[in-house]
Amino acid sequence: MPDSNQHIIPVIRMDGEEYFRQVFNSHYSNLCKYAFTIVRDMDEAEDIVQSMFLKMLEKNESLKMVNDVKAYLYRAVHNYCMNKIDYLATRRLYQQERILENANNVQYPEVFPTELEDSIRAAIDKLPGQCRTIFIMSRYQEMRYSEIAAKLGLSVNTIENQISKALKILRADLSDIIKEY
Amino acid sequence: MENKGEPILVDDQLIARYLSGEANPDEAIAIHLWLETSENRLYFEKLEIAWNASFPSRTPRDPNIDEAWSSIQGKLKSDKQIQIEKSSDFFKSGWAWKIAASVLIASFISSMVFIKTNTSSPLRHLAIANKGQVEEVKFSDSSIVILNKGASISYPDIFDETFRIIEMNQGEGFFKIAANKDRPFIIHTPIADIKVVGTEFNVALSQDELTVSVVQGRVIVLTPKDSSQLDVGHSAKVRSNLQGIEVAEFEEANNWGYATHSFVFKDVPLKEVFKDIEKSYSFFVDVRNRDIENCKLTATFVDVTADKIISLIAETLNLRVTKNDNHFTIEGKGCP
Repeated sequence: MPDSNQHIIPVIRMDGEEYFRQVFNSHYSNLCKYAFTIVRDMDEAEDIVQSMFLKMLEKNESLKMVNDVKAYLYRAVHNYCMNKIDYLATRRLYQQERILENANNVQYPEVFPTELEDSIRAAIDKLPGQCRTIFIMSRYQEMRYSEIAAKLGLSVNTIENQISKALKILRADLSDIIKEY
Repeated sequence: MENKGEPILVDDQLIARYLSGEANPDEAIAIHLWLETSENRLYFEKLEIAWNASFPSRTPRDPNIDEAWSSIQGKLKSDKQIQIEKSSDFFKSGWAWKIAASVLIASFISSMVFIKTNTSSPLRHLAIANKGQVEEVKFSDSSIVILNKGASISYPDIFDETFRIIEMNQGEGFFKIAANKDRPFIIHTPIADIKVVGTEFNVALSQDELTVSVVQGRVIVLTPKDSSQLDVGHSAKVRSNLQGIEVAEFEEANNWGYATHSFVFKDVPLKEVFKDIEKSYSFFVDVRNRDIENCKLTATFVDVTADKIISLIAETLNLRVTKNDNHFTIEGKGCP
């Protein structure tokens, strides 16, 4: 292999910067939206995505985004988010244990956020038993699918099905209410 | 290529998983790609609205990209010194991901960035045709690709013994592949692979669609689920969400005028003619009199320069041309 290094100078800052800007522009918003779904707070999500981009620059990692930039970014954001919620989850655990002691009781009146309007509360209350329990655990207790599955002794697949079912029912039930928004 | 297993199907279950923060990175990418279609977006929004209504205070605001950019840019400036120091010992560092970006000094490729990567295979280059300029890249087997503005590919310094493999990441390129039956030439794209032995063809790659059009010879297009052999005059379209390949005869050979500098017009209004020409060269055409755009042209141009093609058109239709930088101004009587 010919030694071509002698003709090569280290990356010219402008080109790197331009490229970085391009990558940033095309992915920032979507990465934040994705991060939000995991951490459920847009300030947090933006912080995560920004610090990922900064870290990348510091470590000169922008260069390594040669092959599949998009996949790389999404993976990085996912990792950051998971670290974040792992921390939150530990903090939450205690609180959940307490709620789950009553897991067999059908009513969870205290789990609804106070802001919820009666109509929406009613729609959620109307969900079929297990579906309702699982939805509440996911939405209001912010448990991961795997956590819910473990607690209820069900498969993750069942949890997925139930959440998707709940969402479809709510879409239908709430369609009148939502129009007023 | 990594990450090229089964395509991810976006269904209600995946949407629910995404909304509840359970989607893995690949699934999130699939969702965002899927959302680029307005029909899908409408469908998604209905579910999202129901999801948000069940916890209104957790409805996300929009990310603020401008603010984010200024905050990052501030950091960028203050880190500049460190950045340059670090990159200078980059070649010596022993990461698995040992990649060094570099710019060759030679002036004829001044608008291209080459990135060398030391993976298991020999040296790899990344070629990006910067905005506003078409770039030609010659491979070690003397095959050529002409990259349209904004396109990027990565390719090895020297091809492997058995296959000639490159990767196309984005944009459009016109390939002229040197014939070699024993060493197929393969182009990996995120959507499908293209395999040839020696041909001329155009590849247009967008985020969710790949179009391959054969000008000479024969081309094979492969996806994980389908494959298709294309003959001269045909193009194949592959969308990233559907794995099928649609084959059709193409009509618009002027689309790759950026590479061939050749055009065929049959009774085409000048308005369209100028559009095709502007797309292929880096200049603009202004007409003094809108009626000029109505004039129809029937002509074939083979490998012509911008100046030549404009002056030939003007001569044919009895028009006057003045040139100013990258602007041509055309005056004359025009057609009703």
